[in-house]
Parts: sequence; structure tokens; C-alpha cells
Amino acid sequence: MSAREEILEQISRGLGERGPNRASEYASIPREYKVRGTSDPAARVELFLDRLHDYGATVYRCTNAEIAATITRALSLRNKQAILVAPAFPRRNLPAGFTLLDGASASYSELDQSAGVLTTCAIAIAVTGTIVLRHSAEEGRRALTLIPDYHLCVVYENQVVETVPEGIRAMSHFGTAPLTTISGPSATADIEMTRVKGVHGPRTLDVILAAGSL
Amino acid sequence: MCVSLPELLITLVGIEKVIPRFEDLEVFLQLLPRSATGERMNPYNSLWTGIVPGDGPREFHVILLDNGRTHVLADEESRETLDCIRCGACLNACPVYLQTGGHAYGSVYNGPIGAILTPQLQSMEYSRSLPFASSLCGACYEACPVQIDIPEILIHLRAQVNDTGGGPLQERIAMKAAAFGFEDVNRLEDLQKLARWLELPFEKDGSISSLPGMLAGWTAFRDLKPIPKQSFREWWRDREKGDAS
Ligand code: SF4
Repeated sequence: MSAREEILEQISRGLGERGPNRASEYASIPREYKVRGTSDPAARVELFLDRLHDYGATVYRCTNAEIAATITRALSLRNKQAILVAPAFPRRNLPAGFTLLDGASASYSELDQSAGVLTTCAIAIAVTGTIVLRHSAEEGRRALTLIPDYHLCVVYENQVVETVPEGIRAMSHFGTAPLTTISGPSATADIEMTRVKGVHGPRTLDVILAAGSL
Repeated sequence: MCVSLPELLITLVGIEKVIPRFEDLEVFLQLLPRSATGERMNPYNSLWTGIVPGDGPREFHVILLDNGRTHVLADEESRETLDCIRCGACLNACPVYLQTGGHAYGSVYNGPIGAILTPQLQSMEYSRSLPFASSLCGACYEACPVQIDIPEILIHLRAQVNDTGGGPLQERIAMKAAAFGFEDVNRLEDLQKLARWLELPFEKDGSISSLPGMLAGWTAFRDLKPIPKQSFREWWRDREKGDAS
């Protein structure tokens, strides 16, 4: 008997005689928690903003047409001359007057020494201030947003959902790509409940929240 | 959570961690951070669905581990131990854990959940004292986001320790003696009278501050009150006779 068969057999033996239909048992699990958001779009975006501020992220708001100019402003305020860009970041939104580096070809040590990275995101969750990356070409591979110490992320207002269940349900359609969720600049509070920054990813997160859609 | 850029990812998963659907993450990703660190969401989550060329790990192995878990599952009274999501809320609520710290539990699982999980996973061999490391105050049950009735399971495990031989020899003798003493009211009163005599040499200014032998361990840190000169029963009998003081 393989270990797998042995474990499965012990599980059924442990559970004893059970109802015949696992599927209906699963379907009847009470889910009284809030699944669908109840805010209007404006309030939802305000909630997302509030959470980002709470995490210490800097947020800029602009229209779709102002994205390039807003990127220029964010980079200038941080004194960045050069920035890595996700391979399929929309060309029309790229700022002029900066050295734009190809995020696809950079090695880990180049990423480590870079001034930062510019990407979009897949969706965002308002209630937890979460940005979800599915690592498409607009967002770049995982290393691109984990290694640099500065992340400038463009989020479109129509990408923002309100609740965690709405976010998870959207993510369930993202296929087999690795997914990363970011809730504020990287930090951990695992040890003695003290928040330490820069543990998993960038220490500094700037977000450009653009009206309209990608 | 702390997995950043592994090329080879080997994940050891207890079988109780498997959830039915991807969507069920919506429950756990809301419960865990709130109960663990009080955050709305973990700062970073990484989710893998196998391997994808060009990103994420190049090799991915998942080891599903039983190691005593099906044994826990078979015990209806303590099976809910397996519902634990390892948030640590019960630790932060536990007055015993706050005083002793984690190392006292002798396993990676400490605090109230350790006191019920370790004895079950180790088949009780090396952790017979753990189910007793609790005042049964119930603070863990109140804090637990998945409502594991830890005090109830502790009592269940205490019974198992007793049914399989009980504690150390001295403790078992002491318990037998206590049972013998409390069994019969006349016997108890005789023993009380005897104890009043025996304690006389150790009594000073209304308290006992140093006892001989094994009992010295107790009086090294705290005083004992001597047995009262009159028990409630004695007082009651005297009162019936009409000369209660
Ligand atoms: S027993 Fe409950 S409170 Fe304790 S770690 Fe497990 S889920 Fe959290």
C-alpha cells in the first residue's frame, strides 16, 4: 500500500460513516460574511486610498491622460533619474527625460542596484489596501517587484474591488501564474508584533491611482 | 508568506491544511492576519499554482504530511484541534504562556494550542504534563477565530493521561491518599485532628514557613496557613448544642 492510499484510508476510517454527498455538504457551509461590496465606486476608491495612506504609501491621483506627467512628478520627488520598467508597461504612459531600463533582461544584481521599478497591477482590494500582481508582462516577473527597494505602481480606479472575497474570486480566474499580493510597503510584524520594514519586498511604495481603465 | 524567489520550492504541508477550493482562501486570508498580528492583511502573500516557465520556482514539490493527524481525526472529542490555522491568538491570550514563554512547551507548537496538539501528535509519550499546564480559564477559547474548545480538549487529554497510568509515582500516591481521606467524613475529621498535631512543631506566628522533605519545595516560595482550630462541621455541631462561639 502506498503512503497516499494509507493516509486516504485512515482519513475515511477516522471520519467514520459520513453523509453520502460531500458536494452538498460543502454547498451548505454557512457563509454569512460580507462577500459583495456595498459602497459606490467613489467611496470604494476613497477606502482604498485611506488604507494606502495608513500603510505609509504615497498616493497620487490623476486622469488617464495625466499618467506620464504624474510618473514624472513621483520620480522627481524621489530624486530618481533611472527606473526599471515592466516589459509591456503601456508606452503612451511612459515619462520623458528619464532613463528607462528594460525590466525583462535585468539580472538579480542589477535589480538589486536599481533605483526602483514601474509597473501596473492586476486588481486591487480596497478594504485591505491590497495590490494584486499576476506577473503578466505589464507587471513583470516576481523578481522585478520583489528585489528593487522602490516600487511605483499604476492602479486604475476600475481595477479596485471592495472586499477580500471579491478579490479572491477575481484571482481564481487568473490561471496558473504565480500571484503576489502587496498590502503596503513590505513589512512583517511576526516577531514580537513589532513592524519591521523591507523584509519581503520594497521599503517604499508609491501608487498612482488613475481614473478610468487600462 | 516569506517565500520570495526560490528556484527549488519544497513545501511540507500537514494534511489538515488542505482547503476545498481556491475561493475558500477568502475565509482564511481574512481570519489569519486579523487574529495573528491584528493587521488587515499580511503585507505579502505569494500564491503558486504549479510551475510557470519564466517566473516563480523551476521545481516545486509538495509533501503532504500525516504524522499523527489521522490519529487526531479519529478521536471525535479532540478532532477540532485540526481546525487550527496557527494564528497564535490563543498564545497571546494565555496567562500561563505569558509567564512561561514558548520553550517550556518542549515543541514547536507552544501555548494553549501546543498543549493540546503536541500530546496528540506525539501520542502523549513525551508530553504527559502538557494537558495540565493550564488554569482552564478559557481565554484561549475566547480568542480563537475558529473556536476550538481548548479547555474541553485539555480535560479530555487529562483523562487520557490518567487512564494510561497517570502522573509520577509520588503524585499518584498523593492522589490515592487524598481520595482515601476525602472518601469518608469521619476519616476526614480524624485526619484533620491528626494534621493539627503534626503541624504544631512547624507553626510559628499563625503560619507555616518551612516544611521538611518534599514539602520544602512548596514552603520555599510561600507560606501555608495552619489547619483552623475548628472546622465548619465542628462549629455546626457545637452550635446545635447551643454553645457555638
Ligand atoms: S488554536 Fe485557535 S487561536 Fe490558537 S493558534 Fe490555532 S486557530 Fe489560532
